[in-house]
This record gives sequence, structure tokens and C-alpha cells, in this order.
Amino acid sequence: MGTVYAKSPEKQQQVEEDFDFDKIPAKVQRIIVEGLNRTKDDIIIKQVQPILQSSTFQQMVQSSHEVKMRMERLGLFRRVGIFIDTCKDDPACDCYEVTFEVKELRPVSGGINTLIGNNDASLFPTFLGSHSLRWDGIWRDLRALSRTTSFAVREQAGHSLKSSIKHIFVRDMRDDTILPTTGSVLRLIQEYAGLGGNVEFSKQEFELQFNRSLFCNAVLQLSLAGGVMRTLRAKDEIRINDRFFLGGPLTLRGFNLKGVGPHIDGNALGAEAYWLCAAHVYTALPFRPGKGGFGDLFRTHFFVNAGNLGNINFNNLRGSIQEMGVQYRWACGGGIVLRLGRVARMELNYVVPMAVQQGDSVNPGLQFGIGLSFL
Amino acid sequence: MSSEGKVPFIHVGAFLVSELDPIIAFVNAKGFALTSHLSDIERSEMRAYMAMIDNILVNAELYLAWLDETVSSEVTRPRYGCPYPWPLNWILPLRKQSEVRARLSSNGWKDKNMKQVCEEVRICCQALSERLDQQQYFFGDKPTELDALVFGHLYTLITTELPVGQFADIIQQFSNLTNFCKHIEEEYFKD
Repeated sequence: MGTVYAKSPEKQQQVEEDFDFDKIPAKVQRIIVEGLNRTKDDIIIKQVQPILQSSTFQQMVQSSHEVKMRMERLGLFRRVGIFIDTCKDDPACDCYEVTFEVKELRPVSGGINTLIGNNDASLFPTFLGSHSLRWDGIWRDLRALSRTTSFAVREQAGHSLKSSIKHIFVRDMRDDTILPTTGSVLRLIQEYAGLGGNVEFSKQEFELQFNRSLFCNAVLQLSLAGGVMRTLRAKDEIRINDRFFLGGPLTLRGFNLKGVGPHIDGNALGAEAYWLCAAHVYTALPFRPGKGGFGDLFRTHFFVNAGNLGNINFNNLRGSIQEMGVQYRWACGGGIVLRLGRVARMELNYVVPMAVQQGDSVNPGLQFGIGLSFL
Repeated sequence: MSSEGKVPFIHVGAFLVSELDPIIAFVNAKGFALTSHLSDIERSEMRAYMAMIDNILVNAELYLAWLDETVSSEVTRPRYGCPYPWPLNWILPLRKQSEVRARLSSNGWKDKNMKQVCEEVRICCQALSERLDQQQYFFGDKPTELDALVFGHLYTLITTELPVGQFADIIQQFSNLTNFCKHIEEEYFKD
């Protein structure tokens, strides 16, 4: 903004008493984005467009800042910087140039994977653009840890080596990953295992989420997720390490972790397909304690979630899908959500399971959960 | 599959019991005992022989399988690794080999040479042969756990083809032991 003072000293003297940036006319003639290598132009053009509409200096600064925030949220850049200067072509007019200096993420990056629980998520997600293609080589040693481990699980014990190619597509337009108020996210995951190693399968997963602000700061959130996998070696069934599990305090509330689907002697066996959907209404805490500070980390929410886990018979696809749609589980309830930094959240809910199936491990009443991914 | 990762194990209803001694204790608790016809002295004698097999034959087998360079590289390691894909098929056998080496070095067997190991095996077979004498089983005319254990070890050593066949040669010198193996095979394992 020093430029403004330097370039128009007379103006400044005239309006010294009520200097208002909002009254200074400004026209953005050019937007330059430096540091783009792999990111596609169409993504950037769409992001920066609002700046061109600004008519005053304040609007220009404000919308540039908003665009910077939005670009940071895309998850494509490590750093985004703004630089505003007068237009070099014709210094006399009210034209400005906005330059964004961005630093893209490295195309190859490491991540830590948790294979425990249902939160099979990268702790530090990084993406090559909004696509990420990665190779996973994982050596697993499955053991029966207790005397009561069922024989069906023991039969799967031993070493296995998974070598897979995974493609992850993420389109995240939300304003926040943990407690969004607007925007949607689409996540698609395709995995092909069988490049070496001794497990061969293909796995497809998707996740969709919409958020919409309602009256009085309330937010409506609708989520839908599903997945299906198929073994590529007819004689081998998919190992328990690779199967889908369903249930838990942040996914299908009202059920214990992995509590849904086939069980033997209390051990969840998992299955080859699942679907899950949820509807939440989030509001601020009643009477807004700690408003503007600590209290803003909390939300109350009411939800309904439903889902099912089962095996798909590819010879009788229609029948299997119908079956998945009929014997579903659902639960509703309400509780408190706490945001933990920018990555995780904690929930304490009171849940009423409304439809359960035989063999499910149900958790009616209070349920507490903490995790990185949720639905 | 067993909780301790050890064989042998049996699966009875909800129970899964692994290793010989717990299995024998489990079966005894269910009311099946092979040693009911023995006196207390004979029973402790039987345990002493079983301990001798654990201390000598088992260590000698581990020595032959994992420490003898020819056998371990031509037979044991490939066989141990064959169910796994590369690179586990060479990592896991090497890991097992170092485990066995640590075990044998802690009980002093690692420093023996093949000749000394063969001598130990010969002494063990000698003792077993003298105890068996011309009887059908080690204790009278009924089999006990000891018969099962001896048969398991000796039959395997005689019938497994290895590039180094010293152990089989030693056992063949005791005709009553080889007859014992043949007899049990015909009695219990013939279809």
C-alpha cells in the first residue's frame, strides 16, 4: 500500500481527515500467477476471477485476500503470497496488477499411514494437483493375539505383501475440513493390488459431502460414501486385512468400531462392499458460551446415519445390490463436536440405533469418538 | 495360527492348544491318558527321555537345518520361504536363521562342529535303543507320548532326503529303532 501513498501524494493530502480506501477507484488490469508448473490453468483462472470485478482499492485487496485463502485451501500449494502494484503500462490511470506467488507441493511425498481402525487415512495428505497417484508396498504380519481369536481369523494369519497402485481424486470446495459451513467435497479412490506381492484385488471407493448454511448459523451436512472390491484371483478370497469394515463413533454412529457385518466369535470379518450415508445439522452451542473464542471450537449436532456392509455376488449383481439396500442399519442421535486443530475432531454423542441386524455389535446411548476422517 | 505361533496345535471346539506339553495336559484333563498303566518311576523316566529328545535331537535338527551351509541354503531356506512372494521369500528365512543361530549360540550348540553334533545324536539314539530293547513300545505293549515323540523325530530324519545324510545313517545303525518306526507307521499311518 506504500505504492498508493507514493503515487498519489496530492490525493492523500486532500482526503487526509477521512481517508477511505473504499472510495479510491481501482481497476485490476492484470493478474499474474507465478510458480505454476503442474497445476492446470483452468483451476487457477476460476479461482482468481472475482478479483477482476473489484472497483475500489479496498475491494481489490479484500478479494485478493479471499482468493489467497481459497487457493491455500485447494491443497495444491505449499505457500501463496500476494503482491499488488500499479500497472506498468500506464502509471497515470487507476489500474493495478495483482501477482500471486505460489509454491507447488512436491510431486512425490511421503505419508504416514495408520492401518488401525476405520481411520485408514493419510496423516499428512498431499496431492499432485487434485489427483494423487501412489504406490503402496506393505508387508503385513497378521497374528492371533489372544486365545479367544476365532479360527476364521487364525486361518488368515501370517505374512502377506501388498503391492498396489492407488489413485486418489479429491475435489474439496469446503471452507473448512472439520467443521465446514459451505461447499462440497468429492473423493474417489481406486486401488489395484497385484503388482508383485501375494494379494490381488481391485477396490473402488467414493465419498461425497454437501454443506449448506441454514438460518441462525446452522449448517446442514449431507454425506454419502461407498466402496466395492473384487478379488482378481478367483481361487483366493480377499484377505481380512484388505476388506471393508463398518461402524464406529465417527462413521456409522450407534455401532461399535467395525461392529457391523459378519462376525464370528466376536471377531469382525469385514466384507467386500459397503455404503454409508449421513445427515447432520450443526448449530453453535446453546446460549453461545465462549463466543468468539474457545466456544467456537464446539458445535452441537443432530444426525441420522445409515449404512450396510456385505458381500457382492458378481454373478447375481442385481440381487446382491438389492440385498444391500434392504437389510441396512440406521441410527439417530445428537451430541457435541469438538474441533482438534485443523486435522481431527472429537465427538460425544447420544445415539439411538433404530435398525440393527443379527450379529451386530451395537453401542446405544453415549458414544465417544476421535479421529481424522468422519462422515 | 496358534497364539504363540508354535506347532503342533489342536483345535477342539472353542479351544486351540499348541505345543506338545500343553496338548498332553489338555488331553489328560479331558480324561485321555496314555500313561495310566505306568508307575510313578516309569512316568518320570519317560519324562527324562522326552527331555533328552528336546535337548539333543531338537538342537541337532536345528543345527543341521539352519547352520549347515549346504542344507540351509539348498533345502531349508527355500522351503521356508516358498509360500511367500519376493522379497519376503528371502527376508523371512534369513530372519528365522538368525533366530535359530541365537538360540543355538545361547545353549552352546553353535560352536560344535558337525562331527560333535553327530556324536550327540549317536549317544541319544544309543540311549533310546537300549531303553526300547526288543519291546514293541518304550513302556510295555502300549504306546505313550514318548513313543509319539520318538517316532515323530526319527521317522522324519530317516525319510527326509537331504544333501547331507549323516543323521539318517546314524539311526540306521540301530535296527530296533528303525523297526520301531516301521511298526508305528504300519500300525497308525497306513490307510
